Amino acid sequence: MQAFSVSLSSSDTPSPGAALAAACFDAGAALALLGQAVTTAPRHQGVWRDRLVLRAAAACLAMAGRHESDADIRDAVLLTRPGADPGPIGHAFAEWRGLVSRTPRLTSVADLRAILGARRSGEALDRALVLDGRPAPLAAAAAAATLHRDHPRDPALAMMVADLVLARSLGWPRLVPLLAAGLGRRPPKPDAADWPIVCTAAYGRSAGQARLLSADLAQRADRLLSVQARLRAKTAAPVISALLSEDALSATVISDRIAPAMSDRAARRLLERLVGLDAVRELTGRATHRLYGL
Amino acid sequence: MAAPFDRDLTDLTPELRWREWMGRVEAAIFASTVPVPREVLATLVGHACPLDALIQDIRDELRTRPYDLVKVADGWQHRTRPHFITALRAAARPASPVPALSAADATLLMTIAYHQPVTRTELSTVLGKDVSPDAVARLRRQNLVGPGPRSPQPGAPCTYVTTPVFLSRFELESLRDLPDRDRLEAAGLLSKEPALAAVRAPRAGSGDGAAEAAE
Repeated sequence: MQAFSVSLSSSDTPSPGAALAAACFDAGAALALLGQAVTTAPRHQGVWRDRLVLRAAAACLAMAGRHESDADIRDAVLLTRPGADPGPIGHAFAEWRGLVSRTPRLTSVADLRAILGARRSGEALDRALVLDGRPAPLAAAAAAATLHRDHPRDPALAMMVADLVLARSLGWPRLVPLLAAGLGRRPPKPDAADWPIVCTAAYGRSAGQARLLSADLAQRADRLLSVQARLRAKTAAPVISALLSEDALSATVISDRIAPAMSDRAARRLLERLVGLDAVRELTGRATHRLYGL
Repeated sequence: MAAPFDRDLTDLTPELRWREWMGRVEAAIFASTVPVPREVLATLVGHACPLDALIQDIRDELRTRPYDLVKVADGWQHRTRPHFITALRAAARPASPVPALSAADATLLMTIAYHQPVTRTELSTVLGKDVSPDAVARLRRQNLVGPGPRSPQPGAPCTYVTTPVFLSRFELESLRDLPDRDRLEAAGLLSKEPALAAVRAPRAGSGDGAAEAAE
């Protein structure tokens, strides 16, 4: 591994060190702004985090050679009835969601194993979780490289641990899935020579996108809450709070889990009413098995 | 013996302690009929014991033996080395505990493995022939596949996904280890698009999965 200096180089020609410093500067600015959204915990933080989870899961599935869209993942998650297995796509989402629901500072190797299953083990995890005072994106890049070396066929693991290390070194109260989605359509492997720069730039890009997403969802959340007064409070309240905390809902999920007093049909009517009020979107464009979200 | 189970064995010398831990872990795996999860093994040894190094030492000792410690779906298990498969076949009694899959069932199983979650209708399309509910039911009875998410199509047909039993039986640590996934993907054979209707089944694993041990 090459040792990079993060201080700005004084020479005139851009050196790898200077390029890395510039990437670190950009990423630092984007992450600092994002940090505000993470630490202030706005009303829409649940749906925001779920959307980032969806993005990360899709990117990781693509790295593993599967090409499922966000819509495919949503279907796998929401159309699995209790007791059935969500399959590899649903598991990819569930693993990220499990990771994001914990406090990064307290997420230990044992927790990671509990989330990721017994199949992922090894001392690479212990090594990767040791922080050594490097800038956060570089610490995350190094963690991804360590995990990639030990588990080259498990790209999601490297991405998860990198984001965990980033959240820890920034002292964030929650992990934010950033790296996988920031790497773009043809993600380089963490053993590439320019990985620290690529990874840092990806964090800068992804943090910017995540912040825009948060701003967009904040507006949609305001719109949803503004129509709340026009609905029957008793039935609508749990549904609205679920819409603010989850990526998407189906009528069945509401009558099964969110508001058991509500029938499938009543839940569908409420969701369609919200679509009519322009407060919620129907996400699939299908006539049946419709899914709704902010 | 009322004494509580001593994990850390602080009264032993480091070397003896290590040997005792190795013995405990291997004994637990040897005595179990199913793979032993890492979490269980961790309860047998000291809190700070590096379990992977310990297991590596056990495996080093087994190097000359015809079996090995192998990590499968949900834990560690003793497995006969692939080299001795022909010998085992020659010695096998007809009453084998694991019924062999027919070639057709094996093809079906592998198609589910590569395309999951997948409905029976989609399987018929991919394989270019009608897949009967019985065929899927045979795989379900052996617990090799199970129900997955509902498919967002009229009638909400059930999709099928593989189970941990499938992984264990084919010596896969995870679905990422399915052979040739990358090449099938590159050839466009793993897309469930309608264009696939005309294409015959992708090269599926042969029936004798045990022979396909991953090294």
